[in-house]
Amino acid sequence: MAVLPELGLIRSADLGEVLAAVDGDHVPYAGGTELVPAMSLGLRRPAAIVDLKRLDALDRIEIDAAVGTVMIGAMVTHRRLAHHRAVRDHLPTLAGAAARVGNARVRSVGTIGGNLCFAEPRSDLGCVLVALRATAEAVSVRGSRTLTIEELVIGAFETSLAADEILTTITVPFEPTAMSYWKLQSYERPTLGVAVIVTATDWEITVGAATERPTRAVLAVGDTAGLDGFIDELELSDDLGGPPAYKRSVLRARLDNGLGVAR
Amino acid sequence: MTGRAAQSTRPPPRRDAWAKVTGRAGYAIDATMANMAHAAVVRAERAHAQITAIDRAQAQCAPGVVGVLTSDDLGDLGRRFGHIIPDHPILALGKVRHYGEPVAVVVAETAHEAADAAELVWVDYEDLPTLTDAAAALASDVCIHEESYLEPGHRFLDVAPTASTGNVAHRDELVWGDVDAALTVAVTVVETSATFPLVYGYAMETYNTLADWQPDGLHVISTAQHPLMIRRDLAQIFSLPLAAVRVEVPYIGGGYGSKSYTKLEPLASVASWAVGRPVKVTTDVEAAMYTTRADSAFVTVRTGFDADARIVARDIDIRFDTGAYADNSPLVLTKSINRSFGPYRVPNLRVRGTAVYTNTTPASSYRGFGAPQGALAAELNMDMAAERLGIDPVELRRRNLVGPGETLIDGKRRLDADLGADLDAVADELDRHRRSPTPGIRRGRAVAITASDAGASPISTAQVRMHADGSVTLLTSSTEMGQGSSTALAKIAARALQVPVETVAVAQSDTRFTPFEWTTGASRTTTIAGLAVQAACTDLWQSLRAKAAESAGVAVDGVTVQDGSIRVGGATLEPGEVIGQWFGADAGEVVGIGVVRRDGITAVLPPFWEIGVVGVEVAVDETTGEVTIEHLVTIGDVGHAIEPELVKGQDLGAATQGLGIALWEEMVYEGQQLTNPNLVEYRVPRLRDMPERITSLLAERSDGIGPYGAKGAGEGALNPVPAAVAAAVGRAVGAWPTELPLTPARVWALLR
Amino acid sequence: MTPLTGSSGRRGPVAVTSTVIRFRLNGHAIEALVPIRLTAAELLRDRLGLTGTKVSCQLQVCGVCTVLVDGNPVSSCATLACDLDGTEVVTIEGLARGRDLHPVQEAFMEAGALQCGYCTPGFVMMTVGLLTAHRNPDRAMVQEWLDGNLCRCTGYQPIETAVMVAARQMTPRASEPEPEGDR
Repeated sequence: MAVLPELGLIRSADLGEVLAAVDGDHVPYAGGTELVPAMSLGLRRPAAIVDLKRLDALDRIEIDAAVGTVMIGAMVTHRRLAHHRAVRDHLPTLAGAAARVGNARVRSVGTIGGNLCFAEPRSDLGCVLVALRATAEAVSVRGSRTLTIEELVIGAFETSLAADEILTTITVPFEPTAMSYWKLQSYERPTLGVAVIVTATDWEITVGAATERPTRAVLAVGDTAGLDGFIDELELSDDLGGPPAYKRSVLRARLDNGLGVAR
Repeated sequence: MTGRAAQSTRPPPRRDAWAKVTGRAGYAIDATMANMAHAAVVRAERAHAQITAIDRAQAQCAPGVVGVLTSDDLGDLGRRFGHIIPDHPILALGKVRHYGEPVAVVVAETAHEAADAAELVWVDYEDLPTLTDAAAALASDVCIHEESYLEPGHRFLDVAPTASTGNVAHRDELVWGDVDAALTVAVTVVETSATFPLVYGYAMETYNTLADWQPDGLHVISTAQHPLMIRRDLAQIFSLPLAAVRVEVPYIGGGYGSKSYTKLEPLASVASWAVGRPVKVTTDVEAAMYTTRADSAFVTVRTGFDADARIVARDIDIRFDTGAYADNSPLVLTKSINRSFGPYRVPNLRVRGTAVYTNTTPASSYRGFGAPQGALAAELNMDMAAERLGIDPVELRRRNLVGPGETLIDGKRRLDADLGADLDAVADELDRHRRSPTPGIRRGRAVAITASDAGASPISTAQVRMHADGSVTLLTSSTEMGQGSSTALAKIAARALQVPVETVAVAQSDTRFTPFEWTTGASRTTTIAGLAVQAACTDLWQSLRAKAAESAGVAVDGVTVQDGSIRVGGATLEPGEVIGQWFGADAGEVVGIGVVRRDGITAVLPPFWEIGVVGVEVAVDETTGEVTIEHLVTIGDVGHAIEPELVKGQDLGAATQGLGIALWEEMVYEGQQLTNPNLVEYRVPRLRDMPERITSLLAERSDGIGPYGAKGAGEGALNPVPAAVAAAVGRAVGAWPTELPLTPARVWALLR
Repeated sequence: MTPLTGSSGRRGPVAVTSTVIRFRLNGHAIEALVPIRLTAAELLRDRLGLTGTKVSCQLQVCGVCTVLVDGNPVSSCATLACDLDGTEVVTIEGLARGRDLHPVQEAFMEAGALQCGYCTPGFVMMTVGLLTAHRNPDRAMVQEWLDGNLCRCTGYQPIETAVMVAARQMTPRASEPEPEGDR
């Protein structure tokens, strides 16, 4: 059986202490659903993990009804996200996607922040959050900054977080009425995810899982040429889930169907 | 014990159920011994390379390390194993032939220390050309094996291996009639080629072995389906008498053939010998995927039909990708040849098979044993022929099936099954529940059929020990890997001895105590081991009669057995009373021995034909290419179901593995190594994948040679499934598949 | 938890490579010094002798290592032992009360929902987790929870049957609210 390598732990309930500890060799540790297997496979070799689970502030879900946002602590688990009353009311698509992440064990301990920071392309939450125009709060001893999810997730397994930064909060605007998320999942992870928001004027389309990172297009309603251009230009992955032509075909059919495009 | 029997109100669950639901069932991975050390295996990071140097100095000094072992340290011990072709080094001998091959083993106080130190073993390689594809290996001048390892005249069952040449591990053929002439005059000739993927059995318990070498012998606890085969190999490696090698097999966490024959046992044993302590070797899934897989195959079938759609000839070519070492593949190839042409009347036949060495994980037995590989192309060929001939595919099969009592292969047992009746039953069920059309969904239905010369070698011994209270201990070396052998064999013994089944205890396989059993595989246990158990019970009755006669001072002829009791001189004695009288105390026991060998009803091989008849209805999403199995029909043609629920469990489990091969499972090599050596990327059937409707039929015609007319089950329901799914998908999308698995992307491509 | 003291040139607290944890295991208090690299499965199986919890895929796919931590199903092979500090852990060994099996165990026995048995402890624990959160699950919910556990022997059908039987056995009065509160 594979075993974990020698490993250190830094654990504190004090944000300042945690921030002082985090660097490239001392990595933030949330639910561990991605990090622990990555360490046992030898893909990650940190000297120590810095446990964020004792930071209660990162575990909150707060509603700002005035602004129309839900603030989700980075340590909120998929399971809590899926079942939280306010999240289900204001962000039903996100709650629905969270309810289908991984499996029941992954949802028990895996966190929204960990999911974003690992930046596994074949994932649902990043796509839904990009579609919802969510923002993330990153904090380090040097201060804090707010960035969009698109600015946060910059590639496959790649974020723009500095080595000493941790993700603390994701702020998500209330879901617009006409939003849907559909995914193709034949394997353990999704092959293709597509979130669609239809407003009075726009088609907002976000594609994930088959792309290195979630990719959004905003098109005028009825702009089928623009839609074609967007679909044709997407760089889609070639993996066990299928070749790019397959994914493009499924995506086109799905979008045509979802947007009522007749061809 | 009798008290417990009296309390029982419903049929008792399987006898391993309580241990398994409470976590008390012990598996090899749970085994420990006093002063046990842990091993970590240093595995090759090349697919084909000379080893130029191994530097273990750092590892030897690492904390907790007890020893670091390479093939240089094996002294007088044997260095290779392999029951058909002894081509498999325990530890690499100067060269590695597949990625993940064991090169060195580090033994330390803890598993963590062993793993840490294994990272400090440095191996230098000089790369050789990598041949991960069978066609390329056949065409190449590069030899994966440069030498022949065979002793003259060496044989294993039906297989007489020949010296390997040009990366051919084994060739075999089955020929009768004049195929070329018959194909020339045939009215219609249909040709089909299909690729059966590289698959991994994924027994959820991976390969695990604990070995304890001591000067007086070797004790091994292992995930081994065939402990007696392991014993033989270990005795050879250590030059020990068979009696000095003890192989103990606790519960096995899944076998399916993937744990037949020798795997890690030599490695753990030589490590224990080297350090003088018990050593435990475990594998993770990646290491298991680099230990054994099933043979992948490229099969071409040409079938000629006359004007009445009767088969006049079949010409079949089977090419196996057998991986770096032969293991059991030569025998799998021979069986694949026997099973490939279907249970049809074929007046002219030519099947040629080649097993090819490649630089991939060694292939060996897997549930179905060559049958699914051949059936994929050959049964798909029947569907394609039906389309060409304009005949219903069920009718085409019916017209060509071999009937009960007819010959499939000259010199082998005549068919002990009614395939036409099985086929009709399955087809009727499939038709009865046919779905109506749905926009965006295409549907297809198909049946497929196989017959396998199963049962392996009919060599089996069993012992029943009856105790003074009339209860019984049954000793057999059949291994319990979930198929329910302990439950079924206990029931056979209980019926033969007319005692409550609760009073029959079944021992776990342990070569020091349990008697000889050829193997636990080939769906043979109920039939072959069952016959041995019955014979042991008969022997026990004889012994009881003799003892009753002696105690009563009468001739044996005057003692009879009636309703589970002994009648002697007007008195009726319970068996326990006979034992007590003879020993003169409420003590002692009487032992019955049962033997099965190639004699009497098991003189003609195979002991039975294992039948596989299945039907599937599939739904194909036109947009995504996703395939849903909407209806699965299996029929367990088992002669007599000793435990009907166990038979149905075997059928559904086997069919589910067949669905995995049909739709998802495939080991993918890219360059030298697997791209998917894990369960995230190697996709096996899940709960949600199960068919909405599952119809599990039983056919009990008492036409087997086993107890009460039983025949084996366990593999039959897998064998035709990949072919049936391929045909159903082909019919749904209007294009015949040529390779499995039928992943959504592949089906999407077929749709276009 | 070993106090975070000292400094080695780095700012902030220093990492420890082992720590003392206190938790409840099947109702009993446990205190153990554990290396950080030790997984919960290794702690349970190799140090505490509770081998009913199994290990297989090590990637949270197969579910044979499922245990309940504070009532939630987790993969013990991908959980660090140090994370058990302060929790309540239940393993397959903690379900039966003496000789009386848990209704889920009974249901798996009666339904014949096992063959080789290697996945059984994980399925039983996942089912207990499900029935703790949802006392009266429908088929879709059973599939949502159990789809993350693999079985290679049975074809799943008997397992699904066992779960539904266990759910009926355990169904409380309708007035009791669902713990997960989403139905």
